[in-house]
Amino acid sequence: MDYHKLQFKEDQIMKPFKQERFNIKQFQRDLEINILSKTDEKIVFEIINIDAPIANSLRRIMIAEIPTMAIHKVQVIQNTSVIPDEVLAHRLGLIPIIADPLQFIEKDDQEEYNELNSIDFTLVAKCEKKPNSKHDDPIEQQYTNTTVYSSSLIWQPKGQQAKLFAANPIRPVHSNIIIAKLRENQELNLRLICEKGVGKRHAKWSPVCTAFYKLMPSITIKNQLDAQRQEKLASLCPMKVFGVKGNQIKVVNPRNCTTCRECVREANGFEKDVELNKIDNHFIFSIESVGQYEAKDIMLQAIEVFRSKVQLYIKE
Amino acid sequence: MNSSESEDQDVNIEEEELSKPIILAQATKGMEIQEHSDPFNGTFVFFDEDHTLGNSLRYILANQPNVEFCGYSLPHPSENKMNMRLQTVNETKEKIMNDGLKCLSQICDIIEDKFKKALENK
Repeated sequence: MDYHKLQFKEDQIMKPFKQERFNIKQFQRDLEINILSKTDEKIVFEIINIDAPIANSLRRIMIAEIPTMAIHKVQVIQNTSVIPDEVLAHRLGLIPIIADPLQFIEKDDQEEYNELNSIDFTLVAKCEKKPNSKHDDPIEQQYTNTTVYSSSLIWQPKGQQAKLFAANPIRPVHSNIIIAKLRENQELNLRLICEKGVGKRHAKWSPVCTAFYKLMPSITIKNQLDAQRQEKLASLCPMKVFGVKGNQIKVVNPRNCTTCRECVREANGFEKDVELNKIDNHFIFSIESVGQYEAKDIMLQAIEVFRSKVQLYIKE
Repeated sequence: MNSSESEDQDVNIEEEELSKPIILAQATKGMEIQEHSDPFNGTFVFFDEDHTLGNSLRYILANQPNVEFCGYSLPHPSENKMNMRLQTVNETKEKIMNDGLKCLSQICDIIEDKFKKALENK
């Protein structure tokens, strides 16, 4: 009996049940982690011989409990654009900011703003007519600041911040995010204050575009198929999971499978020849970072947050 | 004289209670144990925790030796509480809870170790 294969029969999941004692030494022996692809922004890796509750906890922490910095308070000195104050403030909050959150502390409601718990930005833009412009010119050439981009956010360093962040100045991750559009004589003059927070409090503080996992599929071809049927089966799969080598059809790219179930649909005629299962202790994680952290650092941070969460309650 | 003095005292106590802040939600972390008297059965109440800690801790505890029952619940989303029910034999519930937490901490160390090694190999 394969205790790790999850079988799907129509609408049910059948899992052969075996309650095992948790043995930490065996866990250390069996746990395997392989990196499948890695860039600064996105990492895909697999963890084998881990159980769902632990994998899920790590995923939840990556989405909701890793701190970042984001604009939290907006002082509106002047806003004559068509965007209402609150909509503008909401948009500003969602702009990701590169600032190492480990250098900052979360601010209490009662505390004053200081260099350790906040970052200041200013945003000043006025749409004015350019001299020597003609009526026929496109509007961007007739006026300045017709579109306000996130590059207009100017950091105002406080206290020691200028020295601390000299190597990696605080700035938005992307400089081409459109904040607002202005026309003649409309003006924006704002003071922005960034605070440290976590995704649990508001999604603007989440460090990932998304972090998710899927289970490794287990696809087996149960019967021998003749050459014609082999060709047909290989062409059925939209993700090219099957490949015909010589006279044998083999599962070449199991990780590409998206569980569309084309290979086991009754109408296609292969439901008795192909078995589609999932292995319940093999997870393929995909983490895509927004830009404040490198993707691999998000996983390392998640493990750190998980550990400190647990250690809070341990009594020696 | 005596009665008027005690009246003044009553008024003062009322004022004190009115000026105490009303705690609407507890956002600080902490753990409370209910049913202190029974060494083997009890409910651990965690403040400001959710499924992230609850499900993984429950999974570890349920698979430890000497555990008769383990389960967790979040009684209501407006309350920041997570209840973890633990019933044990032979060892005290506090010790088994502590062991479970240590085990979970070790799991984190193992995962971190293997992840860092995988990064070096890539």
